[in-house]
Amino acid sequence: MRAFGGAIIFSFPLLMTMEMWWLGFYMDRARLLLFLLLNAAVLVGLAYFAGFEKTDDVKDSALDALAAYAVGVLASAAALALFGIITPAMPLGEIVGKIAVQAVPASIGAVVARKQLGTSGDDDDQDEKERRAGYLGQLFLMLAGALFLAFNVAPTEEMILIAFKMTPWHGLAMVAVSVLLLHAFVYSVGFSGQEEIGEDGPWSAFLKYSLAGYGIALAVSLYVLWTFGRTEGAELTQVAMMTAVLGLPAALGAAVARLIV
Amino acid sequence: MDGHERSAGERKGRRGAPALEWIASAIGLVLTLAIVGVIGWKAWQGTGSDPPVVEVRAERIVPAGGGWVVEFVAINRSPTSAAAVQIEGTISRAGRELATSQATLDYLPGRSERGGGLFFDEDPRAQDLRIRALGYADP
Repeated sequence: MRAFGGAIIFSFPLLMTMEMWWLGFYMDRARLLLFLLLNAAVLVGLAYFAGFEKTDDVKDSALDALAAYAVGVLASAAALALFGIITPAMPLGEIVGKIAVQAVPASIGAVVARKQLGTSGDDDDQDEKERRAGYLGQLFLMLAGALFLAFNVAPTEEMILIAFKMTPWHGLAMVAVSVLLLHAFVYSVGFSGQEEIGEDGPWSAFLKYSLAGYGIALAVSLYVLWTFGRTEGAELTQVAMMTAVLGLPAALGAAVARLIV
Repeated sequence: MDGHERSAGERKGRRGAPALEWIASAIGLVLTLAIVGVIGWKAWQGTGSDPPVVEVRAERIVPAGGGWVVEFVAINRSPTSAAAVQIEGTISRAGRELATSQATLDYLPGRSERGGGLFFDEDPRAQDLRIRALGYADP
């Protein structure tokens, strides 16, 4: 039940976004498949760090991820049917496509539900696990956070509209603001083992977390834009502007990954 | 000095993968510099105040349903983006207009292209086909 709650809460904004419904039928199928596989990998990782059940090994995490995905699919299907977005009269491909796209945020919601809505009784255990994962684990959490927040805004038309309205100077400011915000969050929110940060001076933390995190945010943004077909026929600088725009929410997602997850 | 010695042990444990840290930081740096470079280069060039310059070209004419569809590509030669670009296709014979069809492209980014299609009842291949952009809105 908790997983269902998480799935609904995390995917609600997207369930009520019309671009998401359209994506379900116009999105390139090969890219959708790749995206679903990547989502599965992220789910396994998230299940390991913050699954809705205590997990100790990769097999358990994989099972958790599968369960979360099932919950995501069911929750999305139920919500879309309730809204009248999917009806039996539609071709099967369209229905499956719509549910598959929506199941991505819903399954992420399901997998982190334990952490968000649950009691914090065994948080120590999870924190211990995160600490053990070390730097690679932190990078993964940043990636998952960036993916989730970028995905939440990427389908909307506003993303490309903002990119068109901005001048290149706005774009450069966007990059600067993203990096600064990310760095501020790294410092004030802190990742587990925060006391280690800053030991080698602020520049080390900046390079290790903020810059690496922004790199992840940019890569995720570009990937999501490509997945949704936003890069087709667009010139390099246009793609760069769109990536910079989406890089802001992605950077925020990377920064607060520890709060969400 | 004291602080240095105290942290030496922890540091060794933490330095399990310094190479990874360097690689991740380097990738981050490269990506950040790349995006700053591309956008900065454009800022340096300046977008100016050139209006969008839209060129429309018929790509393919295929029978569709009871009529024909003319697939077109609209290319924006200017760096300025356009929104709500109206495309009109006219087929005429001996200077007399037989039919017109319209399509609207939501966005046509600067120096980019977008495609669409126009439906006709008559076979456009047998007539004189003209496609042009009617107008646009600022995004």
